[in-house]
Amino acid sequence: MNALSLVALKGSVMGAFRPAGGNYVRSGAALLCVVFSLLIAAEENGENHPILPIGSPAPDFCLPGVDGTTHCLKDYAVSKVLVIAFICNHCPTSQLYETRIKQLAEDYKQKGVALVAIEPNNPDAVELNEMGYTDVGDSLEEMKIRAEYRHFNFPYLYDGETQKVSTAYGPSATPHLFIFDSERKLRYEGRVDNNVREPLITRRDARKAIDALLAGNPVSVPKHLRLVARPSGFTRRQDERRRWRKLKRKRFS
Amino acid sequence: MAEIEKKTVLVKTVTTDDLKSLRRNSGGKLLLVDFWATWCGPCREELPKFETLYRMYGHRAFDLVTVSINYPDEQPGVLKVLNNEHATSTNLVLGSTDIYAQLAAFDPNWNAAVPYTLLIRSDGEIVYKSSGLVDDLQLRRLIIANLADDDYIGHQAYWKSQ
Repeated sequence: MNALSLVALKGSVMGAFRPAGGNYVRSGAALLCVVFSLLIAAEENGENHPILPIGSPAPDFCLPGVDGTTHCLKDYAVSKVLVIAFICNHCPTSQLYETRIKQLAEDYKQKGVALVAIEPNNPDAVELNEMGYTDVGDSLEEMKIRAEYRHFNFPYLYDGETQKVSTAYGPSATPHLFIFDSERKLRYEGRVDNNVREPLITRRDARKAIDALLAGNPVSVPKHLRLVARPSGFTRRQDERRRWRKLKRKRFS
Repeated sequence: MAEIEKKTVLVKTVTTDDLKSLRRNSGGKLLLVDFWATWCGPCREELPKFETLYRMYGHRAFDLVTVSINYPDEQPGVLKVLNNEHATSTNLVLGSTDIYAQLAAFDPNWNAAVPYTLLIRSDGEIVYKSSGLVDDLQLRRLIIANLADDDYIGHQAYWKSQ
């Protein structure tokens, strides 16, 4: 369907992977969902969306949340550490990490760590035949359904409309975490831990990074699981996309 | 979507034996069976939802079979509705005017009221049964949790958990 290919540079075996169904990549033990609508946008605009470099200031945002209010970067100014987690609804790997991200938010709440999740996908870029592992798609309304069903204990914000915030941070997959220190400089970006299968986890990278920041230490491994996405030939005719949109709307009528 | 629209919508006439076999579900897939009729409002409302589910999960070990309980000579009307919904599912129509006997072959305890929707695992176990409108979200979650191809170990377990 598309010639999108990805290369995992760190965190697991090096190699190129062809995503099955267009958006999943098995990389060693990790299966990730590519933020592929960004790739489409990038290709259509002829732009690139690099991952935010370590040390960068947190890009600003003001986005609608599933709680019906707008959340901005400045709302979290008092938090010692800020975790921005890019997750989405339709991706099975992102789903499998929902519990772990909830636990992360819960465990560090009292320590002054804020966790904010952002959904980067444009829901119209996810076709019905790419929703074989989900109950709902990636729209704000559907995010509300997921957040309620899975009792999310963190703000869940929607960036699928313009994808401006996601383009600024540059997540290459979901889940993809960005962890900022008290001055809101990026100190860690990448995976939550080193295994999708919970019993096999031997390294909880996000927790290590947060612990280091809270203790005033440098983060030992500031990047993990960086994916380089190379979009090519991934275009979809506008009229075709409109037809899918129409079909998808029908399902909620 | 254009590909779906290009596909020919088919209906197949069934016997009581076919319906018994349908209930056993020996195809190795999770099976959603939707009994409906052209004159049934709720059924018509649900049909596109079921076709959406088929478009979502049909590339996995999932099958959708619609069974119209219209009389055999009403088949043109059945086909018209199915065409309108681009119903690429397996679509069945009854082969005899002895409607109740045929429906009893599928489920002797059913009162023959439509819509009647069942989700049947590949081992024959019924995991969802609904007379009347289905709960769309509940159905989707049950589908993900019971698909016959558990090719992402841990994912089904997650969807079985609350």
